[in-house]
Amino acid sequence: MEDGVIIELYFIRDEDALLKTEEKYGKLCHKIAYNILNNREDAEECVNDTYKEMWNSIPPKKPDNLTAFICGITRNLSLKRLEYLKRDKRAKHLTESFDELEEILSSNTAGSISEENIGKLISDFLRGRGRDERNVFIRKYYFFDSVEEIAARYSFTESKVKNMLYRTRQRLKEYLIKEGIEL
Amino acid sequence: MKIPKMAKSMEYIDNDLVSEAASYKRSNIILFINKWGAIAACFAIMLVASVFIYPYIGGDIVGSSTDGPSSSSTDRYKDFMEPTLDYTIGWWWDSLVVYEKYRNITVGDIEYGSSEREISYEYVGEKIGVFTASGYNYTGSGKPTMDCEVYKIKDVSDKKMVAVKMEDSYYIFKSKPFDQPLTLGALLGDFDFDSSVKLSSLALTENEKRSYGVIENDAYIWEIILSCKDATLKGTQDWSKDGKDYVDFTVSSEKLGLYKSVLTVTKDGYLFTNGTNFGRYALYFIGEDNANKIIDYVRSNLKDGKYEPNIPSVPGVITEITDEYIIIDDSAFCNDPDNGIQYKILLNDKRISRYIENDFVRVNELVEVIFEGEIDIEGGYVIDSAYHIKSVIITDGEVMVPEY
Repeated sequence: MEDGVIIELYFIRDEDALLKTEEKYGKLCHKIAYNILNNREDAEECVNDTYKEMWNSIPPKKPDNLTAFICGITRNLSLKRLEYLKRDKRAKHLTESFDELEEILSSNTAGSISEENIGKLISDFLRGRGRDERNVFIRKYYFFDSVEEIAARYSFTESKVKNMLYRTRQRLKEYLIKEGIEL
Repeated sequence: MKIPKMAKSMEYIDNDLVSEAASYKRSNIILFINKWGAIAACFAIMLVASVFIYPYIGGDIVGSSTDGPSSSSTDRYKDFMEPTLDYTIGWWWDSLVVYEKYRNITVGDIEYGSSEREISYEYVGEKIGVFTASGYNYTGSGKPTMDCEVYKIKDVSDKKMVAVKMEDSYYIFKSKPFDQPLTLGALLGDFDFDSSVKLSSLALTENEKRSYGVIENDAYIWEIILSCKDATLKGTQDWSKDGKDYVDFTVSSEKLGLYKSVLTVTKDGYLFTNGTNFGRYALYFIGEDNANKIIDYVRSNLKDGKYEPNIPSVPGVITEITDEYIIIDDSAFCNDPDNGIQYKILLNDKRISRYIENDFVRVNELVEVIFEGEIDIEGGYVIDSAYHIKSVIITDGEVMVPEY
């Protein structure tokens, strides 16, 4: 079903909106939540919370990109839940991703810059990269896919994905310095 | 646990980047293995066929305008060929240009199909109306549609061809296979053929000897053809010119969406063309006298010309890839490597740039680049009209296998 039709269902308060959302985006939401939480029950709850948030926020919001909108909600709720749970048993690839992101820009030194501004700079940087490089980076640090999963998704070897990610991180770091961010 | 600021910041990257990564898979090779895939495979084969086989219709069966050696067997190059693939390839929806996406449109009771050719506004006539073009997203779901303005093409029957406006450009859509006009006059009238096509480049075959050349003035030939308007349709398939003397004119016309189609006149009195509609050809009997007048005129006025391949292409090894162009070097393909040339292939068309963007071909790979138009030799062997690139292997002597 087209996203526009799903949004219309939300607007007329038709509960089919939730059904159609689950049909179209359920798998993707579960994937994001599980990548972050590494626990099926927690991921399930997070996805249910995502649907509730969708129901409550549309309307008044009318997202022009439903995929990004629902991914954003799931990711945000999952990260908040991760913070709340203080779970020790985190997925290895998540820890790895956090460490690598921290290497690009330390949370300690980036205190005064808003996350929104950093996000915009990252977007600008990624738009200047090749499509493969850009998508591999986003799969790793937005969707938190493991290197193995990314390699399988793009028919790359794992070492190629690792090298690609390494180079992108280095370039992003240089880009942020160039843009005046003190690292 | 503490979430790094960078991880939170990623939440604010632009929506289109997120949705692209959610759906994007690198390889554009689609392995069609399920039942829907079989349908898609047929579709993809048709796509490929429309690009590569259409110019040859009449070539393999009845001869094309410039039957000649293939690019892989000219004196310049060693033999090379496309490796056999055991799968069908197709493009993801986002990698298609608009006229590849929306391939069908129905106007009244006539269904038209995309000819995959743009037409200049100067040829666009009056507006017919707004109609819904449809496509098939075989890598996604659903049957996408788009409302488009449909226009007549000046002096061309709208029952045969129309111009469809998509994304501010106009594209030729031809009616799906139709009964060919029963007379040569009806064919010429429907397509404004004599005004739209210049008969210049040709190949004359007599006593099995083939000469290539050009004539400067085609008025006399059109005069004869127009005098044969009553010539009746003699066939649309299974006709061969093998063993006959004949002249093949190359037929190209932006207005009619034709590129290197053919109009053939045989000494025994037939006129043939494949320049009317998808894969169909029309054969008319114009009489031996008229045919001989045309052939005699051609023989008397023929000026030397060069062989023109149906599908211009250059082979080479990719030596450089940038965002704007690729460089290929054909030395490895040359019988005399010292004659090698480096071609600069501009990536100014999505149909070619998508191969690069999706990592479909890489540096050091052996490829053949297909293009239309001319090579800018003075500008440094620049090709600005490439639309397809494919991996090849050299089959002359030592077999070389491209690295994937």
